[in-house]
Amino acid sequence: MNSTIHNESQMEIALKQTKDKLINNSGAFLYLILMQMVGYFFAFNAGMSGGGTDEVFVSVRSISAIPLHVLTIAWILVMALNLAGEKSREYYLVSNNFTAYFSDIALIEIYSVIGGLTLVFAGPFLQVLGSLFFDNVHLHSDFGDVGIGNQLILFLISTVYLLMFGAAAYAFGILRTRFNLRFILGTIGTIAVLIAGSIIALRIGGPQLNFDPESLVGFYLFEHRPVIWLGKVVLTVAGLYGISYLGIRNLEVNE
Amino acid sequence: MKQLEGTEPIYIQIGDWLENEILSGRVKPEEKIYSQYKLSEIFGINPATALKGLNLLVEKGIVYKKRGLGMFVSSEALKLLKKERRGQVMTEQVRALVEEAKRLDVPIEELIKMIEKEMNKGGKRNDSMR
Amino acid sequence: MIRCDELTKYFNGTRALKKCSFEITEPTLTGVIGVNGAGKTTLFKSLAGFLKPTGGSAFVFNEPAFQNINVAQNVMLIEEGMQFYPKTSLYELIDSYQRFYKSYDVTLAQGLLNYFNLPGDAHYNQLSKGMASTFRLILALAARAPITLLDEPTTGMDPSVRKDVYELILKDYIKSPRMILISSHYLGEMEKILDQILLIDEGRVLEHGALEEFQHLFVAIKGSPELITPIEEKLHVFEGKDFGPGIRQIVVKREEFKNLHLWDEVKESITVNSISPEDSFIYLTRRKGGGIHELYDS
Repeated sequence: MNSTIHNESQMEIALKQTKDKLINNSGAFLYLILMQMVGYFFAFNAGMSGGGTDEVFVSVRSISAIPLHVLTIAWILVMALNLAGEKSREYYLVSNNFTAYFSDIALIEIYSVIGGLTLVFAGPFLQVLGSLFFDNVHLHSDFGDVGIGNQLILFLISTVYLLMFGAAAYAFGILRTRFNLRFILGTIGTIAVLIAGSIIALRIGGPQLNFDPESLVGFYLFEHRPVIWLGKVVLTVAGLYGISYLGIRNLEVNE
Repeated sequence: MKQLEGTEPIYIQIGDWLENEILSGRVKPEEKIYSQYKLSEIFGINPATALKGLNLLVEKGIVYKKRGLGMFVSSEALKLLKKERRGQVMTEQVRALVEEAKRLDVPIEELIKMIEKEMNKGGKRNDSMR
Repeated sequence: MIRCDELTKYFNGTRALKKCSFEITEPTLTGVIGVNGAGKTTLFKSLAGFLKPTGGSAFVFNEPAFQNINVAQNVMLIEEGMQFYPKTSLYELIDSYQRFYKSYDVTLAQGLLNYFNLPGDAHYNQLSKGMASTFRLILALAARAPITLLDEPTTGMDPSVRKDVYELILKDYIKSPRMILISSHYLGEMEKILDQILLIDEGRVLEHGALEEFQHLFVAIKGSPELITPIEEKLHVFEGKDFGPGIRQIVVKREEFKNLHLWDEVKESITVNSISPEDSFIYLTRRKGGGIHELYDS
């Protein structure tokens, strides 16, 4: 037989795949910029208040970076779901579940880092934009001293949150791909059970036992001890990726 | 590309074609015969099938292998082929001819006369084929 | 290098493959023949490592094929339902494949694109059915993968293109001998370039061997009805046809016919012919006996 048999390792292939996916998903970054532009637009419409006398009119406009964050999160959710949905197509190229998983996660990490970077620059960028249009631009007191150290922390935190959202969306996407109809039914079922469960719990336990969605966010957001926070986040991400791995492990290619 | 017809297996058709090439003198004794790849190219067939056809001739002794050089037509090829053809093909044709004659009510004497006439016509040609 | 041992695969309750066993160890151009739904695509996907056997095994290069990276990088599968990156040109797709399949011959791929008049800048989704088939084939052949699985590669192709395509496959096979398996529900022109046939029916491997062996399974016996009818009663007839009042033809298994030991006179009065491989597959896989003629004649 003339055709030589090749034996590249899984890692080599996984790295190749990562590069290949980056190249073929280059639209992702354009998409990010577009989303953020929308975010910037909404930043300037965060709130307005004003008043004054006949001679002087003062208006105070709030510029908020929150829309930007929200849209960046939306972006990574979409990117991660897309990656999870590509499983059928990509196996026709050299791939197996491990390399696909590895390259998908590598991509989500890269996207998170880039997303985090753009968010770090969002603050200063908004300040600059603001001063172009308005006379006096002040940073809210909550932000205090915005030094390099804070920027780094902001970058880290943004990246990590994006990573979490990405991991969650990916896990969701993989489970959906794997279990299809059963997954959709399962999700609806779980939601129904949760709602029913919380109603019953409320009836029995009284007002102390209320399920509060904000507490889920608070679990991470209000954690002030950095090591514990890091621990919580790392465990969440690891858990989500673990679920994804279990879902992808024996995935078959079949439409 | 040459066409192959009929329902006979391809390798048998190839064998027949090669025998005809030898009989007609297009490939002479001790000359190299078409290789499996050449046949593959001529007929658009799989080289393994072509090889099977060649091996039919090897089995009959019409063609032999020279190590590293390929397949050659043996010196007795023509003799063997004519003997075989006389046995098989001629018999078949005679049978078909006789059947047809019976069907058309042609008496045997008339049939022999027709054969003689045909033999004498191509007389000169016959001699050169021997 | 390809070995299936009682390979079985269930899908949503149907058994797509039932205890398939066969082995291929040499370079070959094997035709995998079967009616639609016989299990050919499932077999290919199992060999490519896409599907996990429900029972039995599919070994490629002596390792289980499912999710095996050695198999993935040395097996190339193309089929009609496969998808590619959207919004990517044909040239870019070839580029992608070239990065993953180490033996890829890009020059050949580009040359073939030109030969078949496929616009390299177009996107796969813009191609017609026939052009898409041609592209998939070019993509697969240029990869020069040791095991190349072509699932119904000529769907939607014009007859003239199909002819070229078979010539192309043969030429490339000779240039770079490897295991090429071509699946089809229709033998036709492909017959010439093959050296082996794997016949699949209802998920099972019916036969595996050289093309001639299939032909030799059956014979067509023609003669006067008085001679043929008594024979008919003794054998399983796959097809019976009347060519006018004086001639009847039946297709039976060669072995059974030989075992009849007919009188010499009878043998002289009937003609025995081989049948085409295409017909022999039809008889092997046909559900009801007899054929259309029975429906109309009775």
